[in-house]
Amino acid sequence: MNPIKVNHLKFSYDLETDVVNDVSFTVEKGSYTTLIGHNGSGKSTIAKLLIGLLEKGSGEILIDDLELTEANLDVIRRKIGIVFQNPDNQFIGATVRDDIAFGLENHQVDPALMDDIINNYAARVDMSKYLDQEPTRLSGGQKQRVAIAGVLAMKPEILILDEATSMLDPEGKSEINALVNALHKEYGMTILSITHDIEEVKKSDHVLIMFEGKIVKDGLPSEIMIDEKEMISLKLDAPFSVKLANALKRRGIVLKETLDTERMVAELCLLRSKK
Amino acid sequence: MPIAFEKVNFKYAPNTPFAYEALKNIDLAFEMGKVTAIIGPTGSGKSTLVQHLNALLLPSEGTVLVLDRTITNKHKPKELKSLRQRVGLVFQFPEYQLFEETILKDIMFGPLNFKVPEAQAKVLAMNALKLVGLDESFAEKSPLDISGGQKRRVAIAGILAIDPDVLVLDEPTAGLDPQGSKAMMELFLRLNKENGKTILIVTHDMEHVINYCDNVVVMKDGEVINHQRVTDYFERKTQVEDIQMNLPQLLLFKEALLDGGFEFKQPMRYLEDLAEAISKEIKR
Repeated sequence: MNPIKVNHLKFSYDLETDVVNDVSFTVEKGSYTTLIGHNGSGKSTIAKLLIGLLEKGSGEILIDDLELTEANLDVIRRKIGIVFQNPDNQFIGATVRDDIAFGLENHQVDPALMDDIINNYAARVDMSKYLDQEPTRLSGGQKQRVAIAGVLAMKPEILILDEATSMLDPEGKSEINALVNALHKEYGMTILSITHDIEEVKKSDHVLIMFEGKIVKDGLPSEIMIDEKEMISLKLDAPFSVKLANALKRRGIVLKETLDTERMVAELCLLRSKK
Repeated sequence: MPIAFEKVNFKYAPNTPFAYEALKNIDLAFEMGKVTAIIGPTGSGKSTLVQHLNALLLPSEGTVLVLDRTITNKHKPKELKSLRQRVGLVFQFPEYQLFEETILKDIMFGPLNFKVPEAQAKVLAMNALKLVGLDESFAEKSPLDISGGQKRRVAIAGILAIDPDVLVLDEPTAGLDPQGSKAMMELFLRLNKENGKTILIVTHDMEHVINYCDNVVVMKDGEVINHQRVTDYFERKTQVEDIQMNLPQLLLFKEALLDGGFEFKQPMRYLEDLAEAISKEIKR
C-alpha cells in the first residue's frame, strides 16, 4: 500500500494549457520525499489536487489505495495534513488553543478529550506557553509550528509541506526542519515536501523534479542532484558541493563523492595527505 | 550625497503600555554606489530601519540624512514625492500589491504618479519589464494570471520604472526558485555596476551576501552591531554564528577543510577561489 500514488494526472486552470500534464509518481510509506521545480512548474497545484482543493482534469489519485473522489474526500483529508507557505493565511482561531481546536471540532472529536489532545500537540511543537496568545502576535516560525500542531492533532499519516519554510528566517526554518525530521524519524510519518531548499533535497530519501507541468526526474538525490548542467536546464540550481566538485574536476581533481559535504571533505583531506 | 543615520532611536507606540524600542542609537552611513546587505534575526529592526529611508517612519530621536534631505521627528521633508522618486523601496512580498488590470498599467502607475507623461511612462514601463527579464508579451496580461515569481518581477519593475538613484529591497528573493532568485540578484548587481545605483538589500540569505554584496550591516535587538566589507566579515565565522545566521556553503567547506589539515592563507569569496586554493594545496 502506498500513501500516495498518482496516475496520468492532468489539470488545467483555463482548459488550454495543462499546468499538470500527465503526471505519475509514487510516494513510499515512511519516506521523506521532496518535490522541486521552477516557479510555475505545477508543484503547488499538485499539492492542492492531492488534498482535493482543486478538482483534477483526468487521471487518478490514490491515497492509501483509496481513490480520491468527491464521495470519500472526508476520509482522505483525515489521512493528509498540509502546511502552506504563508503562515498568516492559515489561522482561524482567536487564540492558539482555539486554532488547534478548530480542526478537532471539524472532525467531531469528543470535547472532553480535546484539551488533552491540544496540550499534547502544543507540547510536541514546543508551543505550550503560547496556547492563550493571539496567533497574530507570534513569529513566522511559531505560526508555522502552530499550523503543524493543528495538522498533527488530526493524526494524519501523510504530511505535505508546501514551501512551509520559505517565508521564514533561518531560525524559524531550522525550527520547522527539526520538527518535521522528528515526525518523520520518530513517528514514521510520510513526508512530501515541496521546497526550493537544495540542502533539504540532498537529505531526502527520494526526489521528484517538475518542469513545465511534467515530472521529469524521479529517483535518489544522489543520482539526480549531481548533474549540474541538467539541474540548470531544469531552471534549478545544483548544490554547492556539486558545483565545487565540478570546479575541482576542471583542475584535474576528480572526486568519487560529489554530493555529501562530509565525505567530500574526508576525500579531499586524504588526497592532501597522500601528495 | 549621503544616506546616514545620526543617533537615531525609534519607538513603536510611544507613551503606551505597548511602547517598543525598535531602533536604538543608530549611527550608520551607507557607502554610496555600492551594494550593502542588511542582515540580522527577525525582530532585530531591519525593516524598521529601511522604512526610515523614504520617510515612511520618522525617527523618534536623531536625524536621518537621505541624499539632500534631512528627516527628523519634527521635520518631515516637504514634497515627499520627490524623495520617494529618488529612493525606491520594495517591500517584502510586493506581489501582493499588484492591482491594475494589466501588467503594463501596473508598472506605469509609479511614473504616472510622479507626473511623467503617459507616452514616456509607457516607454519606462516597457524598459523596466525587459530589465526584470519578462518579454513584451507580458505587458497586456493581467497580473493575476502569472506565477508568483513573475508577479515579484512585475512588482520590482514598478519601482525600476521610476528610475530611483537608491534602491531599497526588503527580502526581494524570498520564495523565488533558485534561478529566479539568482537572476534577481544579478539584476541588482547590474543596476549597481552599469547604472551606478546604490542598492540596499535586507536579506536572510548568506549565499547572496557573500556572492553579490560589497558591504554588510548586521543588526541585533535594534542596534547595528557590525558594519564591514563582506570579505572581512566572513573572515571570522564566529561573527556569523553569533547572530544565528547560517554560514554560506563556501565557509562550511572551508572550515571543515581547515579542521582536516588544509592551510588556506588567502581570503576567499567565490566558489572558484576555494577550488583554486584546494587544488594548489593538493598539487603542491
